[in-house]
Amino acid sequence: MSLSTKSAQAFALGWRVLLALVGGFAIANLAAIAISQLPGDNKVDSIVAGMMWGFVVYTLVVLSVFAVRTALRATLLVSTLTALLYGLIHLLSVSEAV
Amino acid sequence: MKARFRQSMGWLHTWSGVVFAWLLYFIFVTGSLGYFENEIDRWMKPEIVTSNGISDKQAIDLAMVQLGEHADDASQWYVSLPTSRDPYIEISWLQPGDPEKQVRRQWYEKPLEPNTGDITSIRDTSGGETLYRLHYNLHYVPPLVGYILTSLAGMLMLIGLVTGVIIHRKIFAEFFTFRSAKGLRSWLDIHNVFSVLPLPFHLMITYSGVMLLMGVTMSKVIDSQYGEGRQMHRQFYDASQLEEYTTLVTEILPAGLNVDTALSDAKQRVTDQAISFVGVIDRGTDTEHIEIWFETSEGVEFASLLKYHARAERVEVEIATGKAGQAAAVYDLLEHLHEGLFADIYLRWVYFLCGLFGAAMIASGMIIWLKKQTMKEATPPLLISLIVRLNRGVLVGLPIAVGCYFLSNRLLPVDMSGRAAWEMHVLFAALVLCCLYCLINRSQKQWLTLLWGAALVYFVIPLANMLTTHHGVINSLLNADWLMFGFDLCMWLFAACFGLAAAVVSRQYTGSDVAKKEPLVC
Repeated sequence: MSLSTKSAQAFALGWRVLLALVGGFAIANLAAIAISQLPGDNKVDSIVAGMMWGFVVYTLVVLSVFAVRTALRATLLVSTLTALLYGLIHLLSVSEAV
Repeated sequence: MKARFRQSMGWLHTWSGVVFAWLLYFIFVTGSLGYFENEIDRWMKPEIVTSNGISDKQAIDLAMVQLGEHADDASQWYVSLPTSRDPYIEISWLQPGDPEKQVRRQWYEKPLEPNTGDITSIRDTSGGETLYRLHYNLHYVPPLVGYILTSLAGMLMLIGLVTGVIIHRKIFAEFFTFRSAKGLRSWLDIHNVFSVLPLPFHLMITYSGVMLLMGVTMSKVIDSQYGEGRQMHRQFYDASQLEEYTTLVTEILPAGLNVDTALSDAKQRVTDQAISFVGVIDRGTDTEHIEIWFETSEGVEFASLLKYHARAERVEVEIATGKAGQAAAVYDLLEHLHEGLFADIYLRWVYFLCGLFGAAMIASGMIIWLKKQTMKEATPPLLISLIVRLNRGVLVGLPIAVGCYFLSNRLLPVDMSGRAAWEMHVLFAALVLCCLYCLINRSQKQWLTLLWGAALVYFVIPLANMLTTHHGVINSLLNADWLMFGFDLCMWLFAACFGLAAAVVSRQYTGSDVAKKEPLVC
């Protein structure tokens, strides 16, 4: 194995670790905020539920980031999830305002 | 990542475990000790006079006199009645802060002497509480840093558990496999036993652990709905902890409401549970009321609570029926499962042992990883050999440090200033010394020295107790003081366990084929 492929692999691994830790945390928080905004009569309880699901989401994201075959797919996964959740939160807050 | 899914998960399992292994080991050991917080506390305060046989009424009368004398300006009073776990009367009050007199707002807790009713003066000690709080505040760092570090370690633990389940196809078959004296294979089997059997406990304790700190780690979610800042968050906490109550009207007239009348009314309503403590809340205000708490070992609920309010016509009693929200109720359940306050003495031991299994799981996982690293090359790289040494220092050094903490409680001068803080310093100094010993000393027999050291420390604790107090094993046995006796007995049990471990490890240093044998531990 040449030195350059080795350092490329190391970079890809470090990138995955970053994606898992930071991306996973961001997605966990976004998911929690989205859940807390779901329509329901007990607002406070939805926040509690959201935060509790957050750790499950975090775990699943970390697992997925390391399970997919390439670092590129992991990047796509994290960015897609982030975008989707952003969209969902936006939709929910719009429907709430109406 | 790796070519196969299971290999990727194996990599993740290894690294999520190794990165915070020592911190997780520390959390599991000190957290397990927390299940015996009250018992440890009682042992560390030997001056406390037990009050078996005193009636609730007598105890409360004594307590009210002392509270009136020492805490007349306090807004909250509590009296803890003798129970099987805490067989003594204790009063506590919230001292209001007074900047002029430089009095800090804080809780005071004082045990009472049951015969005279006076406050018993006890040695200044960190007790069981500071020891159990170590597992999430890490003592020397600011609380916020402690919470974040332990949460991070907890998240990695959760990932380690889930990936651990994924990589073991035949998880239950492997549980019944044990290949002894086969080096790495044996360690893998040991790791499986400690992980699989208490897996439900490990998952519950880890998930609920990170959940309990979610207000800190996921505060952005609260920010998004309530706004930033302590006051905004306080609104959220108050709202989320809202309880639902059933309100009943009692026979008591508003003027006749006091601790005695509330107590006798509560006893008529709940006949099958002992009362653990009573409180007078919001003293001297319009919302002044009396709380009666029942014993905690009667179900997963933390405790049943009755609140007595004086209303216009009659006194009304509020009975809590649980949290208003569903998620909050699940949170409550998990919190109670984590803390195990409801557990009686037998279940408490199961909790304690499961916690130690968790520590053993982490320790054996670390040993497996280090064995694999050192087997790769004849002379492992410097970093690996340093980790190997430090690993010994942490794994055995921590139990030694806890033992030294108990010893310091008996051996430090009773009138020493800052004594309680020094007990904690002793704990951490012992841990650091064990690590330093492993780093400096080049002997191959570090495991042996440390294990014999631990055996010695735990053997000496009951002796130090016997020499410095009147609560030695013989006296405890004669007085049927089972808490003190049990504590000393446990210390000797731990000493025996460490001695046994030392004897097993020492076998690898004896015999003619020492050089050929694969070392038992690394």
